[in-house]
Amino acid sequence: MKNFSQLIDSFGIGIIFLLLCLFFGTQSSLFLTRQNFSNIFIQTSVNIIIATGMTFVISAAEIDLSVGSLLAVCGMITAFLLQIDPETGLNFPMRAANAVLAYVPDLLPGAAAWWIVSGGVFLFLALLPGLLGGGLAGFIVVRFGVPSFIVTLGFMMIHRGLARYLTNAAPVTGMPPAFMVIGTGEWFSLSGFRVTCSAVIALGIVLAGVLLMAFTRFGRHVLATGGNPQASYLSGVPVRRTRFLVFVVSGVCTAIAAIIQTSRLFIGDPNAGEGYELDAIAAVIIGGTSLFGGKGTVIGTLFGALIIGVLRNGLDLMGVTDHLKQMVIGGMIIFAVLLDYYRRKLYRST
Amino acid sequence: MKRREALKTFGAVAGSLAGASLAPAAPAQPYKIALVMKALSNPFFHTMQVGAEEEAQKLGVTLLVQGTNKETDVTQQINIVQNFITQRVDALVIAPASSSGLVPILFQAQQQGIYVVNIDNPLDEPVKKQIGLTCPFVGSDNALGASLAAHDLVAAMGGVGEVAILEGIPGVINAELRKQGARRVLEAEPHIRIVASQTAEWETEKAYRAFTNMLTAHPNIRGLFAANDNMALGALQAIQAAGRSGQIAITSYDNLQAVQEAILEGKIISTIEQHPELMGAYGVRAAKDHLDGKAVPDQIDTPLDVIDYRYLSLRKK
Repeated sequence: MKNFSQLIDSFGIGIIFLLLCLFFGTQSSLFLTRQNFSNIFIQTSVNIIIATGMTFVISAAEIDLSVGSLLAVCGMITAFLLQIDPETGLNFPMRAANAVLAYVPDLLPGAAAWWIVSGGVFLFLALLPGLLGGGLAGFIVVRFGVPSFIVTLGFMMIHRGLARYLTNAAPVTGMPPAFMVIGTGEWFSLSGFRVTCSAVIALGIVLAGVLLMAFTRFGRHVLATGGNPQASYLSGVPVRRTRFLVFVVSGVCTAIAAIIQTSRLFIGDPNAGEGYELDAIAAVIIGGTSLFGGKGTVIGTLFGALIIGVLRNGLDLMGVTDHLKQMVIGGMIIFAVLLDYYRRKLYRST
Repeated sequence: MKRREALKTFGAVAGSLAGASLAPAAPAQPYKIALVMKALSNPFFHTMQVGAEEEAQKLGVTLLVQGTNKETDVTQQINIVQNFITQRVDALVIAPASSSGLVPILFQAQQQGIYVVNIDNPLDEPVKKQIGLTCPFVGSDNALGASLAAHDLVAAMGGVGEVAILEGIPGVINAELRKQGARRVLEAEPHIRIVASQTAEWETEKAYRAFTNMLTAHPNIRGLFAANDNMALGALQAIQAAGRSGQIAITSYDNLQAVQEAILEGKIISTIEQHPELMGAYGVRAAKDHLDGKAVPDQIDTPLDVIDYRYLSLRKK
């Protein structure tokens, strides 16, 4: 019995993923193609990145409902930053790079200097709203002891309102077409499998998340804080700082996801990301992270997000209507939590 | 593309002559045309789907239909288009959820040899040009329709009084066109004054709230143009709740069943029928024409009708 429970514990989610793929493979001849798997990764990458950040929040027994709206704010700011001024043909990071390099011509050696400076300026300014948004929520949770559910529910509305307020809800256009590469562009082709930029970024974030969770002091603090905050506090874990930082991680992940989302839409969309917080929470829970904290796995979250993505894509290819799709994914979430419950019962009985 | 038709005829003839023995020799494959719509919960798109399905059956093409849950879910619609590219459909007929956000993926479809037909909500011309997408538009003149509705409103008010406008989602082109079309007529009237113009994002519940507040802020409002019927229905509830029934003239857009009933009860003056079933049908036909090698014009107009008490009462009889 113990072996069986261990098997479910380490591979359960992967097995479900494989079974789903096989099922859809029998339903549609197009499902198990390289092209389609590239598509699934493109369609899932935004959720993978947000859910990776969410894994830290939930592992610490907190919740972040503001990510969907924060994604819209970050996306709008990304689009503003990249918007080309029709007179000069340049956008803000380009102008900044020109100015910096005119001032200190040999800041960096080589011809790539301009790209590095403008890219750096862009990345810094595009990630900043995520950092601030997450940090502010975390600060209020830690400093005033307000439950994160309430704080982030408030920020969900604040950020959505802000995203619409910036342009009176009109989409932001005028980005350079080259920017589309990030969302849908191909990095390289591996025997017909298109490795896209968004997939590489998403997997990079997952890898960073795995390392952060499993191999750093911060990761252990997150799990300890989520498992038993009082015991952790008494044994010297910086509980408050850890709680604050999980929201920062979530905010920064959301800002990275916003860059991909904006590139894919090729507009700054103030309505983007509605309901994404629930998609991300679903991916984390399906992946096996406990909603009560103390147990979290980033790899599980990756598979959780992929399972949702495969369900949407596979049912799409089968021609199933959207109403049914929602019912199936809802059922999947309950099934995953039941599996988790069953798994823990097995542990206790052994 | 002519070759395909020939094969089809050959297949049919050969099949009927020789039965199963010739079956491996290229069975007839009808064109696969995809219809991508917005919120399937909106009856407008259901009518569009029915029109497209009937036309597809008449023309002998296979129609695949998908739509999103919410009007504003651009990403989901992009994913749907991407999955249709994977299914290698011959043509895509789409009512875009965003006038610019869908352009990149539709361009990708076009590059894969899929013919794109834009229906209902026009794509943004500058963005199309920037990215390189070319596709015909099938739909009605939204500004004209709104002007007709505004004209009815002015007539119902006797040309005097304060009016309000409930707008669609800002930045969506048909919402902008309807607002402009209505404003053009209302602003030209010397004794009509627009005192409030706000978005309720096409939604009944949001229109209820918005119009309640408008009535509080401007108690002398005597007329309302709602850019779609869902919002007109919300405003109607707000008027009833405020005890102002029968005092405010409303005209709107889309000709939903519920609004027809309200017109017959005298609660709404008129609405605009923009024939979504024809948008669906003409869209499918334009796709089929192109695949058959016929020329398709850049713009195909669908007709507009003003639906008022006279029209409905005479039709019902």
